[in-house]
Parts: sequence; C-alpha cells; structure tokens
Amino acid sequence: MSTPLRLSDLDMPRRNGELAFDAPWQSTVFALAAAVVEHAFGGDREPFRRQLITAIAAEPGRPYWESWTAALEALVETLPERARPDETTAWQASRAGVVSS
Amino acid sequence: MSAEGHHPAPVSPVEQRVAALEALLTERGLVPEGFIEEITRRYESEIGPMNGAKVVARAWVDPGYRQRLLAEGTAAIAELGFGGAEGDHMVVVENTAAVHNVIVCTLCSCYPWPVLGLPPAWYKDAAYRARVVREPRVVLAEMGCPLPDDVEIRVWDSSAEVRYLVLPQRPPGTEDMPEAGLAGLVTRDSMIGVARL
Amino acid sequence: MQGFGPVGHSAAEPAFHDRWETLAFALFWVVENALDASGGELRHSIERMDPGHYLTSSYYEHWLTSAATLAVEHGLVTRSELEARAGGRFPLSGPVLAPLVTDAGPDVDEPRFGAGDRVRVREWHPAGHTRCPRYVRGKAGVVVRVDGIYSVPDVEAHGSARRHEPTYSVRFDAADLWRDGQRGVSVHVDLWDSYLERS
Repeated sequence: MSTPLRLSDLDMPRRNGELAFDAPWQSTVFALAAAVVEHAFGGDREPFRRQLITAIAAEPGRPYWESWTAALEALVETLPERARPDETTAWQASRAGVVSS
Repeated sequence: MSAEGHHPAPVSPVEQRVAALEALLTERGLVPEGFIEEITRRYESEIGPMNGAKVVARAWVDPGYRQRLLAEGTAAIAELGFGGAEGDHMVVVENTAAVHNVIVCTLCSCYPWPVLGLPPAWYKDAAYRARVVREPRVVLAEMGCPLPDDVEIRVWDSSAEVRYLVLPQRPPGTEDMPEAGLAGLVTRDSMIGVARL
Repeated sequence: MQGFGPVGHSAAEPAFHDRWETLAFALFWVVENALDASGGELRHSIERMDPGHYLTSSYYEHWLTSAATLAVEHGLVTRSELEARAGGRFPLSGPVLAPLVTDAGPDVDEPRFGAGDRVRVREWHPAGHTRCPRYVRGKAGVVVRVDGIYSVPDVEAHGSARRHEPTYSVRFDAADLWRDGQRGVSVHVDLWDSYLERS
C-alpha cells in the first residue's frame, strides 16, 4: 500500500476553473451515464454507483473514465426489459409463450 | 465535428466503446436531443468549486449561516441556490486550529458535485483512495499540506449517501475583505481538505 | 462527439446487423421462458461474465453468453454439448458468487445505535456486492452521527428485493485500524445498520 501518488496528477493546476474532462469522450460518457440514470432509472444513482464500484474493484489500475465506461456498459446490459421499439414485438411474442409456474 | 468531418487521429478502443454506447442509447430513446451538450456545458462551466467557495465565504462573514451550515448542510447550501445530484445529503465539517478534515471515497469517487463540480483525477486515483485512510499525515504532507503532530486529522470516507465538504479556516488578515473577495481565496483543494488557505 | 459517421444512428439501420444476433436475442428469451428466470438472475448472469470476455465481446454476445450459461446451469444442455456443436471453446459466465436475495427481511425503521455508542463492524466478507469497506471489517469504533434510512446495497444488488436501514458515521482510531501507533488520526466511515453490532 505504498504506491506513490503520480506526480503528473499533482502537477495539474488547482485553479477553481480547471476543466473537468481531458477529452470529449469523457464528457460524453459522463453525460450518457447521466442520461441512463435519469431516463432509465428515474434518477436513482444507486445501480450505476454499484457498477462503478465493481468496475473499479475489478481493475484498480485502470484509468478512471475507462472504469466509468465499463460500468455504464454493464449497467446498460441490465436493461433487456427496456427493449427498443423494434425489439418489443419479438419480446412480446416470446413472452406470450411463457407457461407461468 | 460533423458527420462528414475527418478524423485527425486514430480512435482509441475506449472512444469506440463510448461511440457505440452513444449510438445504442440514442436508439433506445434514452438520450434527448442536446442532452450531452447541456450536461457537458453545465459541468465544464457552471457547476464547480466556485459554488463551494461562495458557501465558505458566506459562513466566514455570517455566524448564523455558519451555524446552519454545520447543523444542516444540505439546507444551508440550498439557501445559496446550490443542490442536486450528489448533494442531497450534505455534511459540512469545519477545520480549526486543532482539527483538520479531509475527504475521500475509498470505494469509487463519491464527491459533492453541486458545490465542487467533478473530482480531480488524483482524487479518483487508487493511490489517494487507499493511502489517505492509511497514512493521511504523510499523504497531506506530500500534497503540500504538512500538519504539526498536535493537529488532529479526521478522514471522512463517503461510503454511503452522505457527501462531505470541508469548511476551511479563514486566513488571517482578511477581516476587512468583502464576501466576494473572500470567495476568491477559497480553493477546491481546501474544501476537499488537502490544502489549508 | 458527433464525428463518428459510420457508427452513428440512422432511421433505416436494421435492429440486428447479422443473423447470429437475431438468433442470440431470440435464444435468450427461449432460455428465459424455459427457466422462468427472474430479472435478477438474468442480470447477474451477464454481470458474472469474465471481465476480459465482457469487454471484448459485443452486446449480443453478452446475451448469448447469458443464455448459454443459464441453460448449462439449469441442466438444459451440457457445456461439452455446446462446445462439441460449436466446434471449439464456448466461454460462459463465472459461477454465482452470492445467492439471489429473495427475502430481504423487514426494513429497519428505527436506528439501533445512537451517537456515542461503541460498535463493531461485522467480520464478514460477502462474496457479492457490499459497501462495507474491507479495512473496517471486524474493527471497533464509535458512532458520531446517525444519518438517514437508505436501501441496503448488498440486498439491492442481488435481485428485486429491497431492505431499508439507517446509516451511521462511525469513527475509528487510525491506530486501531492499522496497528502502527499513529496518533491523532481518526477515520470516519459511513455504514449501514446491518454492518454493525454492539461492541
């Protein structure tokens, strides 16, 4: 547990106005997570946070926004019920054949 | 960048995955028109530590506000118009001559967005997250905040729903400064607790 | 971020790019119907994918893996049958590490502890999701603050059951956590009610 802090991070300017994102894909994946949380989970951040914790724990050395991306991919995978409009028909057709237990 | 624009550099794997996510989620109707741009704009220019700095400056000049802030952080922060995602359960902890507070999220990167914006890279880094709960005095000294042995250090791990903000001490010699000037003195790092003013 | 022409959405784009994707999608629902699997079990079968496989495979391959894993685990097919017919390796998801929570127990409406109480964090290491940091398990501390009642993450992660409990900020002396004699340092951790027992 004695890994030194990366000097490159400490050298970053600490002005209040510093940019939150290093590259456009980071702000995009941040906003996509916000969209999914708001529009598929009704604002409940817990499912995404859970995936983020899991993603970080799975690969502690991975850059943060890559873990964030992995977490969002995992979260999106848990949405099979929320089918696309063209998927709905196939899903409903398959459900129609269910014999309930 | 438009759809018919060229790509000046090869696209990295993670950028491809993000693009795939964007396409998929847009297809699913989960991303309203302009949503990405609006969120980006908000977190690049509107939501940031300048918000927390205003809260701190108000607490310095108004003892009643300071009391409310320490007793019920969320409501007091809302008085200044700040709140929202990751700021629904705020606890403000005050630094004194004898006590120094520092914030971390060892499990991921929880951080009080409405008052500080998005966290800096080092806050999310495995090294900070692991070491500041293990040897905070050493870590703070490395980050340019050495503390005498008689100053008590309190580390706050945001492992549940509460989000923390450090109320730094007001620097000496600022008694006659107006509130707006005081806000300009308050740094993000002092509100996380890795710097003193 | 609008420059990715080839990946971008167009109204005419088909739902499935290749026939195998259609089959993977349909197969997922065939297996789900055959097993009457719950949402939690389906989600978890994808969560259990090997991270390397998950990240390097496509969306529909995740569904295919889920379908195949559940089919094997529930005895519809054997792994060797799958691999024989596929003519090679057929990667499946990892084992279920934590049982599906079907009965979460009642909500805890009143905090069991108050500020000043000495508590000990349960010494248990759940295989599934938890928000109890490893470094405080089995350690004793003092409640400094009683916070609100929230859904327990350990329960929520493993099915549709929910349990809500009070949360607390618990102060630990750093010397107790790390046994290194460091002085004047305390670490406060926010913990759910069921993570704690009276000390």
